[in-house]
Order: sequence, then C-alpha cells, then structure tokens
Amino acid sequence: MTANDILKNITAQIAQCAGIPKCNNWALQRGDGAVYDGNVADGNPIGIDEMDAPSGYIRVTSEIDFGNAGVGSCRGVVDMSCEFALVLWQNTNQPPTELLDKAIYDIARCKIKPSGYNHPVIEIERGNAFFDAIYTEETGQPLNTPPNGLVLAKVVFTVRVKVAYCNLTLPACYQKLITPPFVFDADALNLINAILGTGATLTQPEKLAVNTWFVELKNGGYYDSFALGAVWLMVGGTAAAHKFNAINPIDSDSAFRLTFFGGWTHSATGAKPNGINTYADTYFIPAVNATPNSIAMGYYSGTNSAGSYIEMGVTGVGGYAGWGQLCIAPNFSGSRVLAVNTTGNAGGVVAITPTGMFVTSRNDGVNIRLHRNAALVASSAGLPVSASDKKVYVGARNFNNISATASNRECRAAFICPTGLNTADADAISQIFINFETALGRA
Amino acid sequence: MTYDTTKVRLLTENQKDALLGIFFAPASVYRPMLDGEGRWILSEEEAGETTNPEFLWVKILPQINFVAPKVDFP
Repeated sequence: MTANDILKNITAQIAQCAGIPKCNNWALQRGDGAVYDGNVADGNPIGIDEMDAPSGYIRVTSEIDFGNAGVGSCRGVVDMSCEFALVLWQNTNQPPTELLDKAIYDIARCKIKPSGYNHPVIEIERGNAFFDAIYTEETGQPLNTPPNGLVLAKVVFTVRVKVAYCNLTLPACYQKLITPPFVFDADALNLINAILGTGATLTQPEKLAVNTWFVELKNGGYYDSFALGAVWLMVGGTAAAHKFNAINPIDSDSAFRLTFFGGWTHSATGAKPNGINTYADTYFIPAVNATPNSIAMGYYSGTNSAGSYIEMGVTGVGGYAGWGQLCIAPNFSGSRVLAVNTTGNAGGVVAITPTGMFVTSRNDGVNIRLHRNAALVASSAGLPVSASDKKVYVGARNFNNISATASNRECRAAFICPTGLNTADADAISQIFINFETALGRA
Repeated sequence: MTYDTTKVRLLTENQKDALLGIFFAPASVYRPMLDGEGRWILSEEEAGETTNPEFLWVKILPQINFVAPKVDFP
C-alpha cells in the first residue's frame, strides 16, 4: 500500500464522519476526579461555577471512532495534534461559526492512547487559566465571569492527523453538544448559598426551582419592583432557611429577614403557623418602606381550613385598626377580607377557598384588588389614607403591635412589593409563584 | 370564646417573663400569649423543639385545652 493509498483511506473515513458526532463515551473531568457528564437530573450538575472552581486540570476524554475500513493503515500515523475549544453561549441558538473559530485555543497537551484496535482515546489537559478566558457571549468577547442564565456549551475537537511519510495534515472536526449545561442566576445562587450556609440542604430540583423563579421574575421585568421589598420562598425546611428574603438574603432586620415567633412547623413544604400563637415579623413598615397608597402583598397558602385567620397584614396608623391597614384573609370566619392602605377593603360575604396564591394590590390610589391563582376575584374602591406605621406580620396580622388572628394555613411563599401592581402584573407574578410551587410539588 | 381541643402549655407570670425574647431554635423565638381565659400559654411546638438545658422545664409544663381569644375584624 502506498502513502497515497493510506491517505485516500483516511480521507474516505473522515468524509464518512462529516456531520456525524463521533465522540463516544464523552466526558469532562476536573483534577479532583469529579465528572461532568452533562446530566443535570442525576444530581451531579454541570455548571460553569463548578468548572472554574477545582484545582488541577480539566481533562477531556473521548473515543474517536475512525470506522473499520482501512484501519490497518493507521499504523502509518506517527503524530497527531489537537485543538480544543469549550464554547459557551446564552441562548438556545447555535453560535455563529466565526464565534467558534474565535474561541478555539491551542491545547497544552494532547495524548493519543490506543484503546482498542480502531478507537483511540484522546486526552486533552489544560490548566485552570484556560477557563478564565473562555466564557464567551454572543459578542464573541471573552468574559472573566460566567454569564447569567441558561448556557449551552459545545466542545469542539479538531484532530489533525499527520502521516509521516507523505507529510500531510488531515483535519477532522468532532463535536459534542452538552445538554443542558447550567449556570445559576447570580441572585438565585446568593439565596441558595445563604440557605446552605445555615446547614440546611436543598435538593437539585429545589435549587433549579429557585433559579427558575428568579429567571422568570427577571425575564418578565418584575424583579426591580421587588428590589426594595421582600420575598420569602420558604425552601430549605428549617426556620433558619425560611427566614431569608430572597431578594436580599442577609441575616438582618433591615434586610427584612423573618423572625418566627411561636410554634411554627418548618418542613420541605413550607412554614406552617399553628393558628394559636404564631407570627413572623417582617420588619417591613409600609409608612417607611413602601410607596404611599401603592403596595402589594402575596401569600401562597397550602392549607384549606376554616377559622378566624389572617394570613398576613398589619393594622392602620396609630392605634386604629381599620384605616391604613393591609391584610390578606381569603376566609376569615366565612368572609373574605383584603385591605390595602385604605378605609375600605376588597372583602365580601362569601369566603374564597383559602389555598393557592393570593395577591392583594393597589396601584392607582383607589381600587383594591384581590387575585387568587393569577385571576382577579374581587375589587372595590377605598379612600386613600396614610400607610401603616407598624411592621407587617406573616402568618398573622400585627394588631397595633400585638400579633392576633394567627393563621394555621401553611405559608409556601409570601411577598411584599413596595409599589402596587396592576392587574396584569399581579396575575403574571402570581403565575411565577404558582410555577415555583408546581416545580416543587407543593402547588 | 371559642373552645378548642388543641393542647397548649400553661405558664405562670414568672415563667412567661423568663421566655420573652428567648430564641429556642435558630430564627425562632418563644411567644407566650394570653388565651381566651386570660391564661398565659405556650404552644406544644415550642415545648417540643426546646433543647436548651436552661429551658427544658417548658417540656413538663401542665397541658391545658386552648381557648381562643375572641377576634373581631374591624
């Protein structure tokens, strides 16, 4: 067999491979041996935050199948070189070819290991610094920090086979799409880390649900509405985990971290007040922390019960209970009562099934609205008055600085938005919470 | 008044004072309250979760039926 015959054989094999993924048993490994397998569901997530964390090197291994025809000719191969690129981008579209080209870097080492007659294994090793510059947005510019949001990754191998005695280089490109590599939203990660820092644990589905909640809120353009407010997602199963304001997960009163009073039961499904002596102090004072006559609150109830319960709220200015009060009570002794900084309320003589996502809001200075499960269920006009000068309680109402009417309906999430929400936004935000609870199996 | 079969723990005035502002678990504070008959009570959950040796006495407080205070919604 002549050198040209060998060349023809290899060219023919590579041509057959064109466009077909030929990397088998593909894996990424880091120096400590952890495997990036691209499978989020198995609890061993592939994440950029993990990729740049380990010490040592990143190892990429793959078998490349050259097929069967003419394999014996490969004995003539005396040298092989490789290029390797890890390309990340932020949407589900394929990156443009020119971006791939920009991102390809020479590798530090490339070893070819015989592993079976026609399945050489390529090992590529590279130092940590490689990944500091490889993050790439659609602009093609390297980033020093991972981009937010979902990220797809593609690993590209370009293998050049040199046949010594004819001294030709034959490029072959093999690609493997990792689906779906994952990067946590930075704010979601803050909350997750705060929860984990208490010693609580979160399952991978819980982490992903938290992340999705943040992403959906941001994608909908609602995140900034909560920037000065508070959201409690009640994940982690303990009081220490449930206390954090998701928007600002700092352990301080000024960050609206909850303090639980009385006999709460904390579990994976949320925080359940006992209906006797429970409340949670939010440290949120409408007169100080909210826009006058424009505010919204939400409570996801997981318990269908009857009684004189108020899910969250505060009475009005001074010692007066009515004017300026803020509360959610879908079933208070058979009536529904919702109030937002007003003399009136969006109440009614017929109670509403007290489970699901409740939002009460007022953004036009007049109309108070009640939403249940992303649908408007009641509305009425009220005379604007000064906002309450006392702290809002969750799981009960702050009745002139004494907790009263403790609920026994499990709190699976709650929020205070310091500016009111219109009908469409209240429904959209409600749906995001419903999606969150559904993802956790708590809806 | 609403009579309930829910059990709670009966506190004396001094015992109530001793528990005010005390954390019995992370982020969780005792909350003695007056029930519908004017008695200071503590919930079963709080007694059950207490692990601080200084306050283990709450576990042996007498059990009574909870009487809910009258509540009107203004």
